[in-house]
Amino acid sequence: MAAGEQVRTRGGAGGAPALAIFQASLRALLTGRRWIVVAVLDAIFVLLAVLLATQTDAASHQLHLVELFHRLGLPALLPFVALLFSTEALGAEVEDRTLIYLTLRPLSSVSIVVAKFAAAFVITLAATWLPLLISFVLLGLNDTPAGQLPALLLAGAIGSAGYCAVFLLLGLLLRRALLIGAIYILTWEGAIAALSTSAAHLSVRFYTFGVYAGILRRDEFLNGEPYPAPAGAFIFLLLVVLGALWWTARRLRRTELK
Amino acid sequence: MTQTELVPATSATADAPPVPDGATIVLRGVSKWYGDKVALSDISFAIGPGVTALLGPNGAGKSTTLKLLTGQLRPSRGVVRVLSEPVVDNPALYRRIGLVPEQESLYPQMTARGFIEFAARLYRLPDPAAAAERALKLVALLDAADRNLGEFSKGMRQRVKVAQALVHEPEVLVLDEPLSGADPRQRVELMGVFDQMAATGATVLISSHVLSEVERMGSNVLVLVDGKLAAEGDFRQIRELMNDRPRRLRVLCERPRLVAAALVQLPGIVELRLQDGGLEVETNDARAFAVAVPRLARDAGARLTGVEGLDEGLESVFRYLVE
Repeated sequence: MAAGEQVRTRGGAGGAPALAIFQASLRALLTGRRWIVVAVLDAIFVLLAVLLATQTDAASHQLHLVELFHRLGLPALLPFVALLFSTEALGAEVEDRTLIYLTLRPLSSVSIVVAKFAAAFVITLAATWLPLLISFVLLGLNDTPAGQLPALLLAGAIGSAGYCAVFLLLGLLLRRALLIGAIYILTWEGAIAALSTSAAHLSVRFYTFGVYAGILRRDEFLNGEPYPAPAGAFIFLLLVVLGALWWTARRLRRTELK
Repeated sequence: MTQTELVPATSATADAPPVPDGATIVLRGVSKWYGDKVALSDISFAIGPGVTALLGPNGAGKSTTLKLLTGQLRPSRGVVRVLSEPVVDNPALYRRIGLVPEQESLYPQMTARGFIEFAARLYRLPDPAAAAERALKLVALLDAADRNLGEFSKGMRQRVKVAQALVHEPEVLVLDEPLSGADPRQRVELMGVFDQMAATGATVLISSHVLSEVERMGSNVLVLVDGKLAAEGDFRQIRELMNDRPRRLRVLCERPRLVAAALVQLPGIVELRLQDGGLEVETNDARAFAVAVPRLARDAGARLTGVEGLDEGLESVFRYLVE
């Protein structure tokens, strides 16, 4: 075959390079020690759900489920699981200098970033939905009207997407993305945004809670906790995801591999 | 190579020669600096199909040049074109370029076959499995194809890197020190692969700091020294220049005074110094010296145990060329 003849062939059985990157990233993220931390976070969440289910009155289970999600799921489970997987999704290739095997292929940086985001998001979703589902089974089955499950799953999904997009960018920008991300979660979202409503407007957690509360529609469980309008919160998180992915793709395109 | 004689490189952009027909890689007035550090300074050259070697000592700017012409770096100044297209922000061009990067790292959890198939899928090849099989066969890695890359030796990793670079049969193949870590047999095999690529009409640009490697690869060379293009042209002329330059040699022998007395009669001897266990010689005619020294030692009744070059390093050769 003459040089260049084959490379002009497009599509075919081997097409969908973004799918290939997604699959390879998924396989890479399924291994490694970060799973130990994720398993510990999941176990703590489930253990607390078990304790609440066995040690408290059934009539208060709905309230406890809301509290569990609000006090542990939102501030710890979602962001830390997303942080562990998303910073690794691109950051590992930056760190070990294998990024070249993606960027020097005939692919747009957008398709690389979207594939990486999808892999991190799917794994984060699996690792967060599982404990949320278990906690619902333990505490929320007597839910009337049945708003808990869709609220947990949808808020879990959109929150995970927001965190994954932001931390994917962080993994490309910073060498110590895991540490910086953890500091962001603990200090900005955990402390500053918790004390100041205006600061909360710049946190993924605030809008995720808005989506959750908006679907749940049970203000009696929320102790007057402020939350944004659900539709606005959803749109804001969507914009965060799109903005972070656009920035990551732009940065990837302009990154010099020294 | 578009210029066959060894010539000092053109430097100023305005003085760069017109791009010859058939040139596949063109750099015109290219500079690259990082802050205050100049990595490449005003380089211009054009090469066409066939094997071209990019030579230079470590730190001369070879890797920077290769990174510029594969779009990994953006030039601080100047123009880089490959296959008549700009390289920066042009991912479609990678369909026609293959690169063996400098770094050794690969995905340790992937098998060699998985890695090459992955590359083939990213190139949208119609049958990634068949393309991977073909590439692995070319680099003689079929036996180890299903082992994890994390278990591979340096030489095997080099061959995997070559396989991923040619799985899509590129028109331009860029290789950064591709023979590093390969054993002598693997070197011969890999060089055969590069020759084969060049024979199909591809442009193969290989960087190396090992002169003997380059000598076997092809006659066209670009010589970089201290971020500047010091020379370009035919390798044989570099060899001749090397043979013509004064050489410093150490002669290890018994009775060095007697041997020195005999050697001093030889044409081209510039300097002789006695040392423990032998003598140090500077000569303008290394070839005649090499022929004569065993005979003269024997005539002097001295046992000759060795002759070694003292300035064979590539850096000294290149500096000589530049001077």
